[in-house]
Amino acid sequence: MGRLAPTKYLLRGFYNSRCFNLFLPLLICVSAAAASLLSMYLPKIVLDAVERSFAGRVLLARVFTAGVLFAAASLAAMVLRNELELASQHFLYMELTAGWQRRMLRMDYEAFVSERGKILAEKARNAISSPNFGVVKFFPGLTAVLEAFVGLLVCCGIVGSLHPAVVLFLLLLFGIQLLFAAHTQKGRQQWKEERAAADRRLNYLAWGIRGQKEGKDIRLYSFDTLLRCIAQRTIREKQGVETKVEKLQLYNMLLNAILLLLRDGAAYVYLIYRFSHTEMTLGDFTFYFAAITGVGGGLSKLSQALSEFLETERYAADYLEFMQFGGGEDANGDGKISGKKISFVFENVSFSYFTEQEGKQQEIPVIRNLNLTIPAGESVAVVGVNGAGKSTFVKLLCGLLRPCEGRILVNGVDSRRFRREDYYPLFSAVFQKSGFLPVSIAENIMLNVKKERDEAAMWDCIRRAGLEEKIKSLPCGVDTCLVGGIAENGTRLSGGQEQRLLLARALYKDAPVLLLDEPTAALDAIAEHEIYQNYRKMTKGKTAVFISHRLASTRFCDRILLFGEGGIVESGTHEELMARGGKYAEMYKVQSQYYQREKEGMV
Amino acid sequence: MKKNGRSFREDMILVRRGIREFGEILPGQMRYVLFRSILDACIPFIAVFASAQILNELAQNQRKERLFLLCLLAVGGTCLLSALKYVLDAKVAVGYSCLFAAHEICLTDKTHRLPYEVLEMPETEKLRAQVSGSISVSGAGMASLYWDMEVVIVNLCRTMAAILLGAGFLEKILAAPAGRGQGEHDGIWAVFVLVLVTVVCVYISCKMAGKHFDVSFEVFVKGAEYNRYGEFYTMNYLPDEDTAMDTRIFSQEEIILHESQEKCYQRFAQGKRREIRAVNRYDGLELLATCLCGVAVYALVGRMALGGVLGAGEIVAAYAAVTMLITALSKLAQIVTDLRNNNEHLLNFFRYMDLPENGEGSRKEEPGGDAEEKTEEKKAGNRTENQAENQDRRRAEIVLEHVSFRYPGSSTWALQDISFTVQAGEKLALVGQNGSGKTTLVKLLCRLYRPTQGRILFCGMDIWSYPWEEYREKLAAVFQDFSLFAFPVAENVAASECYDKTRIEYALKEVGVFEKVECLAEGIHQPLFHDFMENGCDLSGGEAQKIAIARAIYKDAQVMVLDEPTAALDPFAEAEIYENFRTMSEGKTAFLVSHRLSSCKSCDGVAVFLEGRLVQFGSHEELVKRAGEEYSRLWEAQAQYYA
Repeated sequence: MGRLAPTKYLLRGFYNSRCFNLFLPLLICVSAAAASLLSMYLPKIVLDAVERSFAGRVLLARVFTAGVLFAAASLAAMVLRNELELASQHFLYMELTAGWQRRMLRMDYEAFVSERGKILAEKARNAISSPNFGVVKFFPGLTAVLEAFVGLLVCCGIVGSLHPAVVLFLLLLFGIQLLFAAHTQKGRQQWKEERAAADRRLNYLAWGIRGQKEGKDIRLYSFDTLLRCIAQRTIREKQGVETKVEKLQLYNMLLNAILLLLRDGAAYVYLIYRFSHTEMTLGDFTFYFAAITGVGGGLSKLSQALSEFLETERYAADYLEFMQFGGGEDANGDGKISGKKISFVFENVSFSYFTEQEGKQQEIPVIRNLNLTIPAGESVAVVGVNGAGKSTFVKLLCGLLRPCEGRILVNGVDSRRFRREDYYPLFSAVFQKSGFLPVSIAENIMLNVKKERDEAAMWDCIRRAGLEEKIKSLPCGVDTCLVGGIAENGTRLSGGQEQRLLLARALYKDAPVLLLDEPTAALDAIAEHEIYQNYRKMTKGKTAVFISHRLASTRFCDRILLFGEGGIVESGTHEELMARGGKYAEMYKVQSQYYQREKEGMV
Repeated sequence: MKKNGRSFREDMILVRRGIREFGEILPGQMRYVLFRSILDACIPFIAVFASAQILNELAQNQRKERLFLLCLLAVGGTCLLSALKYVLDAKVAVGYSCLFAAHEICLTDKTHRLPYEVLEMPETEKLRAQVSGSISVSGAGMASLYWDMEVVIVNLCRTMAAILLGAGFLEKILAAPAGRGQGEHDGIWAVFVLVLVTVVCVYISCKMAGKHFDVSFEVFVKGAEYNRYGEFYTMNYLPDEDTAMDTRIFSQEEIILHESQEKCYQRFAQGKRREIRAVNRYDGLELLATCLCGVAVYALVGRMALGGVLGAGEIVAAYAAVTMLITALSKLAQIVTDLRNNNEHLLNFFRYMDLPENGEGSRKEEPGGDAEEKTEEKKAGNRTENQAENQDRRRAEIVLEHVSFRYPGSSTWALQDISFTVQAGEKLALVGQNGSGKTTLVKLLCRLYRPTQGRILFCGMDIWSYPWEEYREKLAAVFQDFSLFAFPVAENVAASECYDKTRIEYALKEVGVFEKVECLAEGIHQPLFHDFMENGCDLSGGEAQKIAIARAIYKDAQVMVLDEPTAALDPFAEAEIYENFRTMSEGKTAFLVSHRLSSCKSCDGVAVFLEGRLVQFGSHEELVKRAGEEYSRLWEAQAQYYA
């Protein structure tokens, strides 16, 4: 990414959003410069008139003309600045935020879950999170730089007409100021990491723990005392770090105060000298004095505006870096599937997660050399201990993750050749953890997966998921919004109801492949049994994968895959695996022993 | 003058309370702001005053020593006060860097102290979202109060300084002898016109200043409301790894973009447009008035100077005094409007801080104080005699007497007329279908909710008659939706920074996660996750659940409650937990909620719930034989797969 890339990116976006936008900074510069020039000129008019004893009428005419011009220029500058602020915020909400959201939704899933992806996403989000700082201040910041520059040129012109050496003197003072500021900046850098760490800790306590979902544990285990302790310490820590940083800033400011003393002192001495030795009027005296402070102030303003602008530019760079990260726009896939029969072949598929620790990339293999064929219409159960790679297998299957090595053939076509928007429609899924949108239940089920909303099908799915009664009991029925606390009058469902709703959503999508990852963990025995009973019907004609800790679920699947150590350890029907007496049989025995003994006892 | 239904006095009382409570969030900070603001206000006047004198001296005598002294005053005085101000600036900046976080921490701390049923009310959650939302969107509430106080002090000081400067100057006009070509009363007239112009301009400015703030305020209030939607997507839904799978597989892009634009961002943009329009209108008028007033001052003072009444210095000083007065007063007017509007946000903050706290309710319920005395006695007894504690432990039986419960605002009974007794040391399994009331019963046992009817006795006393601090020590619970914090493992288990290392290790061994913890770089001192410490470790769902159980073991309370403790565990880990269940809870009264009915066998009794009622109570062996009834239906539903 080039140095100017973020600036170009934003300029283009801002222009596209409304082409008049780019003229605003220029107009602001002109009007602001006029206003500041006139404000310096007004006292000169009055003082000159007094000194030269003009007629009262002449004085009035001049003051009035200059005054009206001054008012007009100030007013124009204000209105234009407000307009720019409005345009910037509009741009922030309509373009930048929407762009970020779109990127979050489209980027490759593996990029999304990667450490780097998360950092970039968070940095970009931070860059656009507020109307008070970040990218939104880019154009006002740019304008401030231009404005300061123009103002400085005007003042330099005036002061230069007095004597060019004065300008040089002012520049010299400013040079010292800059050197010291750079030194301070460097000093700040050394605290950067300590500050970031303190911020992270403080942010976790302030926004990570809200006391709502942790409420029960906090109450029962008196965590509040511990949290209060840690919070107090963390605030003190943060203040300690900030004190160190501010101390540097303080030295810098004290030096500035001394430089200011030198500047203004020298200006007074020089102007008083000129006044008593040349033809200078009192009006000139105030005018030049204002111009000298104007140069000094203009220089500081310019450097301040520049550093602020560079900071917003860094935000812009954060934003752009994220916007260009993570792929997901693969336009050139030619894979297409027609029909409802989908088969899968895994050929030597390996998959690893990569984490970064102390600068070194670490590879954590999850799946190694997996070979597997799932014929169209087969229903497969996947079992295994925690961490055996079951969930990763499902993610590989539905294209959220792509194999690091080997390939997956879908109806004989390499899955890489599909565009994601052609691939995802093949799948419907119930994942272990899911969230709902703060919209109505109906919309949560139907989403936009079909071209036309099919209410009848929706109700059928609700019925099959066993939710009909519950939904009909709600005051607004299927139009009740979910996610209480966000949606107006939103309701909250119990864990079991949520799981049924997820099932209804998956059924509604009615895709050729159905993936169920622990879909009954939150259901009671009878509800679970009902789902098992209907499983055959649900998966009729579909390729289905069912992940469960409950080995009971394996009975109605065509084949059981036992995952362990990064691959399939055993595979076959329940009877076959039991006969083999391997790992599966052992697991089954552990789980069923209580039930088994009971049976024996009853006989 | 009433605003938002409050008089000025009432508003100021709220502001005073706000300042007091601000001291709780950032102690001492307001004091720094006060001193800094006074300095800030005074600094420009030194230069104005001194430079006017310099001009006069130049115009008249040009005495070198006096000029030198005046210059020194102008630059030296400014330098000295600025230096002082910078020192305070640093202090203020340090405080400010923690303000928003400290504000949230203060609120969350209050959240911890709420009774659970208050916490769970939607209104509470909404109130919290409002308070947090308004500060994060626009700094409204406590942060505005802080900024506004600074503006108030600065402008009060400036007003006073400007009046002083102006008064000295008016006196000079009035005292001056009539100059050439001027009548005797010209001075009085000039003063009159000058004051009139200033007053009119101040009036216009103040009038206009308030108006734009009213619009801004309205926009802010609505903004916080919309922000909920925006933040839900950007902070929760979109960055979540799990929902990211849903968004992709179920192509949620269109609906999410549409929703967040329509419910949040478009409205933000519209609000901003309205606000800017108001700013242009009102601030524009104000600016115009100030500019024209300045011109009028120049014209008037200039005319008088032409007459020789005033010196050159006074022209500059008069202009400075008048414009500063106008700006200061209009800023004050603005800020008072803002403060009064901001009180709406402060009120929300106070409302939240005034919510009842844990323990308050229970004490009120026992006006006679008999029960408290009794517990005091008992406590004293415990302390003196160890034996008594053992006895107490034996007596840790729990009796439910006709307990019924309805969630607040709900018309249906979640639990109805539940009565049973669990002897000390007994283990009871609670089973039933989803929504049958098991988890609700757990909440009642944990005193998170109060029974609507009936009562729960612990050691023969109503659990609500114990002080909350005492009761919660008697109970260790593992909830379905337990939470771990990003602190070290040991602190998660002990819920404290002071812990007994061997007991922590024992607890971790008991649930079978010690080996995993031992492998971590810092063992039990290893932080979890990466939110708090960078070097934290990630846990699988099963490991997290085991640590949550270890927490209950470590607490070593008389009663243990496990609500679905094995949902995230694989069959081996699950079996291990159930095998150990009896040792874990040895000597304790225990409740176990589980969908895995096999776990009932490790319990002494089973309570079967159906639609909020207790339908069966007995041992597993008894209940399973009664075919056709709820328990055997549940049992069969599961057991058939293992037959």
